[in-house]
Amino acid sequence: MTNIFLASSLPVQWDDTGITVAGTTGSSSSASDRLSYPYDLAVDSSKTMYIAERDNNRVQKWLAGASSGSTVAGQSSGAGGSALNYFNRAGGVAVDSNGNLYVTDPFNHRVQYWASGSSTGTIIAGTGI
Amino acid sequence: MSFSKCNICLALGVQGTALNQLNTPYGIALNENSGTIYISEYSGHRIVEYLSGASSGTVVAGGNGAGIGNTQLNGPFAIYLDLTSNSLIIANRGVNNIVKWVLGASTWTLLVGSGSGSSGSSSTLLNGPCGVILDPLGNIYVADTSNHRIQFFRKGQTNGTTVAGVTGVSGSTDLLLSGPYAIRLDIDNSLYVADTNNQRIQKFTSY
Repeated sequence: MTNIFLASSLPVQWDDTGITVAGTTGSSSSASDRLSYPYDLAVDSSKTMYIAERDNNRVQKWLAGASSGSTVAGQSSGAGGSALNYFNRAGGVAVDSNGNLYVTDPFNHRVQYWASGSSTGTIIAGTGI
Repeated sequence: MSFSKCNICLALGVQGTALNQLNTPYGIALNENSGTIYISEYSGHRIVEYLSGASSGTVVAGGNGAGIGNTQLNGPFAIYLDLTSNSLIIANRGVNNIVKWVLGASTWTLLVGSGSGSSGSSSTLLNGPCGVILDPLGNIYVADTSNHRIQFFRKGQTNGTTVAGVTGVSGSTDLLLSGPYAIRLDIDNSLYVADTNNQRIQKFTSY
Protein backbone atom coordinates (compact mmCIF):
# COMPACT_ATOMS: atom_id res chain seq x y z
CA MET A 1 0.00 0.00 0.00
CA THR A 2 1.02 3.56 -0.61
CA ASN A 3 0.19 5.81 2.27
CA ILE A 4 -0.49 9.40 1.25
CA PHE A 5 -2.00 12.01 3.52
CA LEU A 6 -4.53 13.86 1.37
CA ALA A 7 -5.54 16.15 4.21
CA SER A 8 -3.91 16.91 7.52
CA SER A 9 -6.25 14.61 9.40
CA LEU A 10 -7.21 12.13 6.71
CA PRO A 11 -4.79 9.48 5.54
CA VAL A 12 -5.74 7.98 2.21
CA GLN A 13 -3.98 5.01 0.82
CA TRP A 14 -4.41 2.97 -2.28
CA ASP A 15 -3.94 -0.73 -2.70
CA ASP A 16 -0.87 -1.43 -4.83
CA THR A 17 -2.81 -4.27 -6.42
CA GLY A 18 -5.14 -3.28 -9.21
CA ILE A 19 -8.53 -4.81 -9.88
CA THR A 20 -9.66 -5.11 -13.48
CA VAL A 21 -13.04 -3.36 -13.63
CA ALA A 22 -13.45 -3.26 -17.42
CA GLY A 23 -11.96 -5.29 -20.24
CA THR A 24 -9.90 -8.45 -20.15
CA THR A 25 -6.14 -8.32 -19.68
CA GLY A 26 -4.28 -8.66 -22.93
CA SER A 27 -7.36 -9.43 -25.01
CA SER A 28 -8.41 -6.80 -27.53
CA SER A 29 -11.65 -7.14 -29.48
CA SER A 30 -14.97 -5.39 -30.08
CA ALA A 31 -16.96 -7.86 -27.94
CA SER A 32 -18.96 -6.12 -25.21
CA ASP A 33 -16.71 -7.50 -22.48
CA ARG A 34 -13.52 -6.39 -24.22
CA LEU A 35 -11.72 -3.12 -24.89
CA SER A 36 -9.25 -2.12 -27.58
CA TYR A 37 -6.66 0.44 -26.53
CA PRO A 38 -8.68 2.45 -24.02
CA TYR A 39 -7.35 6.01 -24.25
CA ASP A 40 -9.53 7.88 -21.80
CA LEU A 41 -12.32 7.46 -19.34
CA ALA A 42 -14.74 9.44 -17.24
CA VAL A 43 -16.24 8.21 -13.97
CA ASP A 44 -19.52 9.70 -12.75
CA SER A 45 -20.93 9.99 -9.23
CA SER A 46 -22.43 6.50 -9.50
CA LYS A 47 -19.00 5.12 -10.48
CA THR A 48 -20.27 4.40 -13.96
CA MET A 49 -17.38 4.51 -16.40
CA TYR A 50 -17.42 6.01 -19.88
CA ILE A 51 -14.48 4.58 -21.77
CA ALA A 52 -13.11 5.95 -25.06
CA GLU A 53 -11.42 3.20 -27.04
CA ARG A 54 -8.96 4.23 -29.68
CA ASP A 55 -9.07 1.10 -31.81
CA ASN A 56 -12.77 0.31 -31.37
CA ASN A 57 -13.72 3.85 -32.44
CA ARG A 58 -16.40 4.00 -29.74
CA VAL A 59 -17.32 4.97 -26.18
CA GLN A 60 -18.52 2.23 -23.84
CA LYS A 61 -20.71 2.86 -20.81
CA TRP A 62 -19.75 0.40 -18.12
CA LEU A 63 -21.73 0.24 -14.87
CA ALA A 64 -19.86 -0.38 -11.62
CA GLY A 65 -19.51 -4.10 -11.09
CA ALA A 66 -20.70 -5.04 -14.57
CA SER A 67 -18.92 -7.66 -16.64
CA SER A 68 -19.61 -5.93 -19.96
CA GLY A 69 -20.30 -2.53 -21.40
CA SER A 70 -22.72 -1.00 -23.89
CA THR A 71 -21.89 1.38 -26.70
CA VAL A 72 -23.09 4.94 -26.15
CA ALA A 73 -21.14 6.67 -28.95
CA GLY A 74 -19.79 5.21 -32.18
CA GLN A 75 -20.55 1.69 -33.36
CA SER A 76 -20.66 -1.41 -31.15
CA SER A 77 -18.90 -3.29 -33.96
CA GLY A 78 -15.86 -1.09 -33.47
CA ALA A 79 -15.98 0.13 -37.06
CA GLY A 80 -14.53 3.56 -37.75
CA GLY A 81 -15.52 6.18 -40.30
CA SER A 82 -16.29 9.82 -40.90
CA ALA A 83 -20.10 9.88 -40.89
CA LEU A 84 -21.70 11.51 -37.86
CA ASN A 85 -22.35 8.17 -36.18
CA TYR A 86 -18.70 7.15 -36.42
CA PHE A 87 -15.30 8.13 -35.08
CA ASN A 88 -11.90 7.78 -36.64
CA ARG A 89 -10.26 6.67 -33.41
CA ALA A 90 -11.82 7.84 -30.17
CA GLY A 91 -9.57 10.09 -28.12
CA GLY A 92 -10.89 11.88 -25.06
CA VAL A 93 -14.26 11.82 -23.36
CA ALA A 94 -16.11 14.15 -21.01
CA VAL A 95 -19.59 13.50 -19.64
CA ASP A 96 -22.02 15.90 -18.03
CA SER A 97 -24.36 15.10 -15.16
CA ASN A 98 -27.13 14.12 -17.60
CA GLY A 99 -24.99 11.54 -19.38
CA ASN A 100 -24.39 13.64 -22.48
CA LEU A 101 -21.02 12.96 -24.04
CA TYR A 102 -18.30 15.18 -25.51
CA VAL A 103 -15.82 13.08 -27.47
CA THR A 104 -12.71 14.04 -29.42
CA ASP A 105 -12.43 12.42 -32.84
CA PRO A 106 -8.71 12.90 -33.51
CA PHE A 107 -8.36 11.73 -37.08
CA ASN A 108 -11.62 13.28 -38.22
CA HIS A 109 -10.20 16.46 -36.66
CA ARG A 110 -13.42 17.29 -34.83
CA VAL A 111 -15.26 17.02 -31.52
CA GLN A 112 -18.62 15.29 -31.40
CA TYR A 113 -21.49 15.75 -28.96
CA TRP A 114 -23.68 12.72 -28.35
CA ALA A 115 -26.81 13.47 -26.37
CA SER A 116 -27.66 10.73 -23.90
CA GLY A 117 -29.45 7.91 -25.72
CA SER A 118 -28.65 9.24 -29.18
CA SER A 119 -27.50 6.99 -32.02
CA THR A 120 -25.61 9.78 -33.80
CA GLY A 121 -23.41 12.68 -32.91
CA THR A 122 -23.26 16.33 -33.92
CA ILE A 123 -20.07 18.24 -34.61
CA ILE A 124 -19.48 20.92 -32.00
CA ALA A 125 -15.90 21.83 -32.88
CA GLY A 126 -13.71 21.49 -35.94
CA THR A 127 -14.69 21.16 -39.55
CA GLY A 128 -13.49 17.62 -40.11
CA ILE A 129 -10.55 18.63 -42.31
CA MET B 1 15.22 40.14 -38.83
CA SER B 2 12.33 39.28 -36.56
CA PHE B 3 9.92 40.66 -39.14
CA SER B 4 11.24 38.37 -41.86
CA LYS B 5 11.22 35.41 -39.49
CA CYS B 6 7.59 36.08 -38.79
CA ASN B 7 6.77 36.09 -42.49
CA ILE B 8 8.52 32.78 -42.93
CA CYS B 9 6.50 31.33 -40.10
CA LEU B 10 3.25 32.45 -41.66
CA ALA B 11 4.26 31.07 -45.05
CA LEU B 12 4.99 27.67 -43.54
CA GLY B 13 1.74 27.67 -41.64
CA VAL B 14 3.31 26.89 -38.28
CA GLN B 15 1.03 29.42 -36.63
CA GLY B 16 -1.63 26.71 -36.70
CA THR B 17 -4.83 25.96 -38.49
CA ALA B 18 -7.86 28.21 -38.74
CA LEU B 19 -9.87 28.86 -35.60
CA ASN B 20 -12.76 26.72 -36.81
CA GLN B 21 -10.45 23.77 -37.44
CA LEU B 22 -8.75 21.27 -35.20
CA ASN B 23 -5.52 19.38 -35.74
CA THR B 24 -5.69 15.95 -34.10
CA PRO B 25 -7.72 16.76 -30.99
CA TYR B 26 -7.25 14.39 -28.06
CA GLY B 27 -7.93 15.97 -24.69
CA ILE B 28 -11.22 17.54 -23.69
CA ALA B 29 -12.44 19.35 -20.59
CA LEU B 30 -15.97 20.55 -19.95
CA ASN B 31 -17.11 23.42 -17.77
CA GLU B 32 -20.56 22.13 -17.01
CA ASN B 33 -21.64 25.44 -15.48
CA SER B 34 -21.18 27.35 -18.71
CA GLY B 35 -21.09 24.63 -21.36
CA THR B 36 -17.66 25.84 -22.47
CA ILE B 37 -15.31 23.14 -23.70
CA TYR B 38 -11.51 23.12 -23.95
CA ILE B 39 -9.80 20.95 -26.54
CA SER B 40 -6.13 20.00 -26.85
CA GLU B 41 -4.74 19.74 -30.37
CA TYR B 42 -1.97 17.19 -30.24
CA SER B 43 -0.57 18.08 -33.65
CA GLY B 44 -1.65 21.72 -33.50
CA HIS B 45 0.25 22.33 -30.25
CA ARG B 46 -2.45 24.49 -28.76
CA ILE B 47 -5.56 24.46 -26.58
CA VAL B 48 -8.73 26.06 -27.92
CA GLU B 49 -11.82 27.17 -26.06
CA TYR B 50 -15.27 26.81 -27.60
CA LEU B 51 -18.10 28.64 -25.90
CA SER B 52 -21.39 26.77 -25.90
CA GLY B 53 -22.83 26.84 -29.43
CA ALA B 54 -19.83 28.60 -30.97
CA SER B 55 -18.74 27.66 -34.50
CA SER B 56 -15.13 28.61 -33.94
CA GLY B 57 -12.71 28.63 -31.07
CA THR B 58 -10.28 30.91 -29.31
CA VAL B 59 -6.70 29.89 -28.58
CA VAL B 60 -6.17 29.91 -24.82
CA ALA B 61 -2.81 28.11 -24.62
CA GLY B 62 0.05 27.55 -27.05
CA GLY B 63 -0.53 28.21 -30.70
CA ASN B 64 3.09 29.27 -31.15
CA GLY B 65 4.45 26.14 -32.77
CA ALA B 66 5.87 23.10 -31.02
CA GLY B 67 8.54 23.93 -28.49
CA ILE B 68 9.68 24.21 -24.91
CA GLY B 69 9.35 27.98 -24.66
CA ASN B 70 6.86 29.19 -22.09
CA THR B 71 4.44 30.41 -24.76
CA GLN B 72 4.54 27.04 -26.51
CA LEU B 73 3.20 23.53 -26.08
CA ASN B 74 4.46 20.32 -27.64
CA GLY B 75 2.00 17.50 -28.22
CA PRO B 76 -0.52 18.45 -25.52
CA PHE B 77 -2.66 15.47 -24.52
CA ALA B 78 -4.99 15.43 -21.50
CA ILE B 79 -6.21 18.70 -20.06
CA TYR B 80 -7.83 19.29 -16.68
CA LEU B 81 -9.91 22.38 -16.00
CA ASP B 82 -9.17 23.68 -12.51
CA LEU B 83 -11.96 26.10 -11.66
CA THR B 84 -10.31 26.95 -8.34
CA SER B 85 -7.36 28.60 -10.06
CA ASN B 86 -9.17 29.40 -13.34
CA SER B 87 -6.54 27.47 -15.21
CA LEU B 88 -5.90 24.49 -17.42
CA ILE B 89 -3.53 21.78 -16.26
CA ILE B 90 -1.92 20.31 -19.37
CA ALA B 91 -0.14 16.99 -19.98
CA ASN B 92 2.53 18.39 -22.29
CA ARG B 93 3.44 15.00 -23.63
CA GLY B 94 6.11 15.88 -26.18
CA VAL B 95 8.26 17.71 -23.64
CA ASN B 96 7.65 15.43 -20.67
CA ASN B 97 6.08 17.88 -18.26
CA ILE B 98 2.85 19.10 -16.71
CA VAL B 99 2.16 22.81 -17.01
CA LYS B 100 -0.43 25.17 -15.65
CA TRP B 101 -1.88 27.79 -17.96
CA VAL B 102 -4.10 30.37 -16.30
CA LEU B 103 -6.96 31.31 -18.61
CA GLY B 104 -6.11 34.68 -20.09
CA ALA B 105 -2.38 34.33 -19.49
CA SER B 106 0.15 34.19 -22.31
CA THR B 107 2.62 31.78 -20.71
CA TRP B 108 2.62 28.56 -18.73
CA THR B 109 4.13 27.81 -15.37
CA LEU B 110 5.80 24.46 -14.75
CA LEU B 111 4.12 22.17 -12.23
CA VAL B 112 6.09 18.93 -12.51
CA GLY B 113 8.62 17.33 -14.82
CA SER B 114 11.49 18.91 -16.69
CA GLY B 115 11.45 22.57 -17.65
CA SER B 116 13.81 21.82 -20.51
CA GLY B 117 11.82 18.94 -21.98
CA SER B 118 13.99 16.08 -20.75
CA SER B 119 12.43 12.70 -20.14
CA GLY B 120 13.43 10.45 -17.26
CA SER B 121 12.27 7.98 -14.67
CA SER B 122 13.37 9.61 -11.42
CA SER B 123 10.85 10.97 -8.92
CA THR B 124 11.05 14.45 -10.46
CA LEU B 125 10.87 13.45 -14.12
CA LEU B 126 8.26 12.06 -16.50
CA ASN B 127 8.34 10.18 -19.78
CA GLY B 128 5.66 10.98 -22.34
CA PRO B 129 2.88 11.78 -19.85
CA CYS B 130 -0.59 11.53 -21.44
CA GLY B 131 -2.92 11.95 -18.47
CA VAL B 132 -3.31 14.43 -15.64
CA ILE B 133 -5.94 15.26 -13.04
CA LEU B 134 -6.11 17.18 -9.79
CA ASP B 135 -8.00 16.13 -6.69
CA PRO B 136 -10.14 18.65 -4.77
CA LEU B 137 -7.11 19.59 -2.64
CA GLY B 138 -4.97 20.43 -5.68
CA ASN B 139 -2.74 17.38 -5.55
CA ILE B 140 -1.62 16.20 -8.99
CA TYR B 141 -1.94 12.71 -10.47
CA VAL B 142 -0.08 11.92 -13.67
CA ALA B 143 -0.41 8.99 -16.04
CA ASP B 144 3.33 8.76 -16.73
CA THR B 145 2.71 6.67 -19.80
CA SER B 146 6.14 5.60 -21.01
CA ASN B 147 7.31 4.95 -17.45
CA HIS B 148 4.29 2.61 -16.97
CA ARG B 149 3.33 4.26 -13.70
CA ILE B 150 0.95 6.68 -11.99
CA GLN B 151 2.70 9.47 -10.14
CA PHE B 152 1.27 11.48 -7.25
CA PHE B 153 2.56 14.98 -6.49
CA ARG B 154 1.38 16.77 -3.40
CA LYS B 155 0.26 20.30 -4.22
CA GLY B 156 3.26 22.56 -4.69
CA GLN B 157 5.77 19.71 -4.76
CA THR B 158 7.82 18.47 -7.68
CA ASN B 159 8.94 15.20 -6.13
CA GLY B 160 6.47 12.45 -6.96
CA THR B 161 5.46 9.14 -5.45
CA THR B 162 4.49 6.13 -7.53
CA VAL B 163 0.98 5.06 -6.50
CA ALA B 164 0.31 2.47 -9.22
CA GLY B 165 2.57 0.43 -11.46
CA VAL B 166 6.32 -0.04 -11.21
CA THR B 167 8.70 2.48 -12.75
CA GLY B 168 10.00 1.38 -16.10
CA VAL B 169 8.38 -2.05 -15.95
CA SER B 170 5.67 -2.85 -18.47
CA GLY B 171 3.58 -5.88 -17.62
CA SER B 172 0.13 -7.33 -17.21
CA THR B 173 0.02 -8.63 -13.62
CA ASP B 174 -2.20 -6.87 -11.09
CA LEU B 175 0.80 -4.87 -9.82
CA LEU B 176 1.88 -3.64 -13.25
CA LEU B 177 0.66 -1.33 -15.98
CA SER B 178 1.53 -1.05 -19.66
CA GLY B 179 1.42 2.37 -21.27
CA PRO B 180 -1.33 3.92 -19.11
CA TYR B 181 -2.94 6.88 -20.88
CA ALA B 182 -5.52 8.24 -18.47
CA ILE B 183 -6.45 8.42 -14.81
CA ARG B 184 -9.58 9.38 -12.87
CA LEU B 185 -10.74 9.43 -9.25
CA ASP B 186 -14.19 8.37 -8.11
CA ILE B 187 -16.17 9.90 -5.28
CA ASP B 188 -14.41 7.60 -2.80
CA ASN B 189 -10.93 8.61 -4.05
CA SER B 190 -10.27 5.27 -5.68
CA LEU B 191 -8.02 5.54 -8.73
CA TYR B 192 -9.10 4.34 -12.17
CA VAL B 193 -6.38 3.85 -14.74
CA ALA B 194 -6.82 3.33 -18.48
CA ASP B 195 -4.19 0.61 -18.74
CA THR B 196 -4.09 1.07 -22.47
CA ASN B 197 -1.74 -1.57 -23.79
CA ASN B 198 -3.27 -4.17 -21.46
CA GLN B 199 -6.77 -3.52 -22.90
CA ARG B 200 -8.27 -2.93 -19.46
CA ILE B 201 -9.31 -0.44 -16.83
CA GLN B 202 -7.63 -0.98 -13.46
CA LYS B 203 -9.06 0.25 -10.19
CA PHE B 204 -6.84 0.92 -7.19
CA THR B 205 -9.07 1.03 -4.16
CA SER B 206 -8.59 3.71 -1.52
CA TYR B 207 -8.81 2.97 2.16
